[in-house]
Amino acid sequence: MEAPCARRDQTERHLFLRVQCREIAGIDGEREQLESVGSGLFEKHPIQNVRVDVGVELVHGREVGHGVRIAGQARDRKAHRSPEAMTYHRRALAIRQRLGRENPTDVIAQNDVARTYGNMANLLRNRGEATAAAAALDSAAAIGEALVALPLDTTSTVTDFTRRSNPWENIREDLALIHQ
Amino acid sequence: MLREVGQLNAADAAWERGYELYQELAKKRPQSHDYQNSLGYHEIVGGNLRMAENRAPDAIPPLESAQATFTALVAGNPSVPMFRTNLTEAQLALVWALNTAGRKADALQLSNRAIENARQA
Repeated sequence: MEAPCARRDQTERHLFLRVQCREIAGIDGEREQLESVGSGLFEKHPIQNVRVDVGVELVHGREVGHGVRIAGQARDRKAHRSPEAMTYHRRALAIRQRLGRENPTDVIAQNDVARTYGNMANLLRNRGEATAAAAALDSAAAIGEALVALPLDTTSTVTDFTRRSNPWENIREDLALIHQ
Repeated sequence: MLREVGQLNAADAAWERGYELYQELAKKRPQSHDYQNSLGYHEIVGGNLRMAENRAPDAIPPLESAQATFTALVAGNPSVPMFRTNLTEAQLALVWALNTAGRKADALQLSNRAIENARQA
């Protein structure tokens, strides 16, 4: 049964909410299910406030990656040491790495990979695997440092799926958190 | 994280890099409460890192800065519990650093303020 909030109007914003609703309702955010939901929504509703040059497929894929990440984080909370949580994070990482490879100039796609490494580090740390967590953070930091070195427009606004809108700031904030 | 795996030098370098980035963000958006909060929290982390390295006197400046940051945030936003909580955390960490550094009177005075602040949360 769908969570009540999943019945709201189906906009791209609400895909994000639906993913969260599925998490709250305890429904697995399986990739196939999310892709199906995402395909339907993106066909009906043109994407607003996202870069047109990356195309719907990238945005679609990124949202799926985000959904899988949320599913992984849900498992972090529900079962702190569940092996399943890392499985979902690894799936999110594979999706985001593919998107990053396919779109090497897309800073958000690259930063998404760093974010997933950061999520994996948090889980590993909570499991007591500090060395592996540090290695994941190193991977995240290497990506982040490469991104902050880029001459990005400090005023551009590109909405990502955390609803933050300035890549110049987002990548710095994410990298600072990794270094924390 | 690096502190937990015993890489204290690397932890120091990572903290400094994070501090640079938070300062850069806070400078770009001085009115952003989020960035001020992140900067202040990072200073608490830095103070705790130096305490873990048995460098109590070096821990005091970032913790004093964190206290100042959160005091300003609480003053401007008295209804936001997170800022008050972080202020208390900064003050308690600073109490520990002052006490360890031998400044017992300052530590006692600040601990009373921290308790009073926590009661208002």
